[in-house]
Amino acid sequence: MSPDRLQRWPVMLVLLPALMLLSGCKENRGDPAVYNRHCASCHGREGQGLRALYPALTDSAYLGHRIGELPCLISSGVRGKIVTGNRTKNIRMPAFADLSIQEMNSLISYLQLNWGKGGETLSEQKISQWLRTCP
Amino acid sequence: MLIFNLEKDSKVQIWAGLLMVVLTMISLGCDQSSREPLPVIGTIDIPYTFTDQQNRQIGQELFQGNIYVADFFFTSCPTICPIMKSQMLRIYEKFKDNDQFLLLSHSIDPEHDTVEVLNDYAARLAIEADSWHLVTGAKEEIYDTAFRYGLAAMEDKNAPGGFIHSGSFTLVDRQGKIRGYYKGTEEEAVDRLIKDIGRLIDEP
Repeated sequence: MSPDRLQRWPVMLVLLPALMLLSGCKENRGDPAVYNRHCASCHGREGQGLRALYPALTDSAYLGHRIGELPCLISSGVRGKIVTGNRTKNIRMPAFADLSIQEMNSLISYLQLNWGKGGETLSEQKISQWLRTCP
Repeated sequence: MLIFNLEKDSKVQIWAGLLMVVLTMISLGCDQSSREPLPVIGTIDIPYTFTDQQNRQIGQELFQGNIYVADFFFTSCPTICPIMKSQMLRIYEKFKDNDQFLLLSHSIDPEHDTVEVLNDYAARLAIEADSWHLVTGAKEEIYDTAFRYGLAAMEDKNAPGGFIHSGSFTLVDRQGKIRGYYKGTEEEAVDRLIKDIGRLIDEP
């Protein structure tokens, strides 16, 4: 081996474990179980929606400052108009009244971790508090 | 000497070329599935007339001489329909400009899925009514039609959305013969369907 080649070895030895560590550092995306079971068939595995039929979740005010409205929206469903930003959409979404507080927390945490815009940290207490305000 | 060498080289090249051609033919020959015509599974005979999203009367004669894919769905379906429709959109985008190909989706919830509801659904999917007909009609006729396409559809109050139906697509040729069934919820099955539509288009 030429001396030139020998000099590259320490660099490789440092780079390799660093790369391995980096690839191991997976982002916490939450538990997709509830989402995949109840939501993904319409909203898509990646939250991409389907044209104007099922809204995408990737840019939703409900995953930002309106996150507190989400538990009621999910448990009661939507029938009619909802206003997001300056757009009014006519939506029909089934009610998911049977979700437990744990499932609801797991679901909304998953939505927030994947497509949210930061905002407050969720807890089961907070979810049940929001659910009590449902109309 | 130089000339001789060149000749020898070109001979080698010719032989190598021939070998390649033979090998390619053998490997193509192995793929029997794409050479044999698709099987004929049954014949479609629908004695009913349905109404599409543009309020037009749609009978079987519209599909005669056309290759088409039929399925059954309902607009408020919370389970497999959205996946079926996103796969159907792939087929639509691929063949929408082919004037010998059509799509036909029957609503199995005609009470809710009126012409107006189907029209709104089509608008949201941004599909053209001339290549993709969404139809509604008398419930018992729709269910009998599903049976004639070899697909299951029924009401079930315990099922999500209130109905159970097959998630399959039926491929029908220009002579009204059923040529294949494909799971409308599986991307690979729909890839195969897209290929098979191409094969039917190439059939004389």
